[in-house]
Amino acid sequence: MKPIYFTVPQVGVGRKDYSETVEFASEASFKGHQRRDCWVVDYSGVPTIPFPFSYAVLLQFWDAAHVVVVPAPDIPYHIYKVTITTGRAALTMTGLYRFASLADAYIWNVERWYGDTYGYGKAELVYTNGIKTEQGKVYCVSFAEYSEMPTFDFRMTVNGLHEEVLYG
Amino acid sequence: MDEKEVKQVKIPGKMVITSEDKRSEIDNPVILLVTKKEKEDKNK
Repeated sequence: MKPIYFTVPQVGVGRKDYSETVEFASEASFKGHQRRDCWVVDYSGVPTIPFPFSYAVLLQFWDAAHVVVVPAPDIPYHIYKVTITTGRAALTMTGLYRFASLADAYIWNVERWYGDTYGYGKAELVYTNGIKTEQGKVYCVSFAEYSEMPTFDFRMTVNGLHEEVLYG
Repeated sequence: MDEKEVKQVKIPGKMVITSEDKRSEIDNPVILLVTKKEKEDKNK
């Protein structure tokens, strides 16, 4: 791995300000047994809905046999960033939710809410320490564009990593 | 908290999951429409 070099600025007199290193330390660092993942979801012609209604996409994962599954597998994934872009300067929203089961997702019985955020044409959630998935849980990304246009296009990008090796 | 109503909607789209050595494409992944449940008007 390429080391990150940076300079520590000295302001005034006394001890140098090393607080900048905290930011570097909190960045996701990838180890040999981990793999970077990216989920990209593209939709076009999605009917616009009124505020505060939203759409939601169920995240899908690979299990140990490399089969795509909806409930999170035993090998943990870490979600670091969720981004929604719509390409139009209209109020855009995204959020991340966890459900105990698929049945709970279909009745929106939320087990844990990881926050939501708004923007214009783009909304982004960043989890510095990552959201670690739990086996059997269902993860869902919500999104919406609140414009007065009949339809909208969107791209959802989720960045994360997963462990190749399961530690007991 | 308002009670939500969830409907499954069918809109053509695609989900692509990529890793450093793997790639999967899922056509028309499940999309849920989350709305507020209409409360029954008891005065009716």
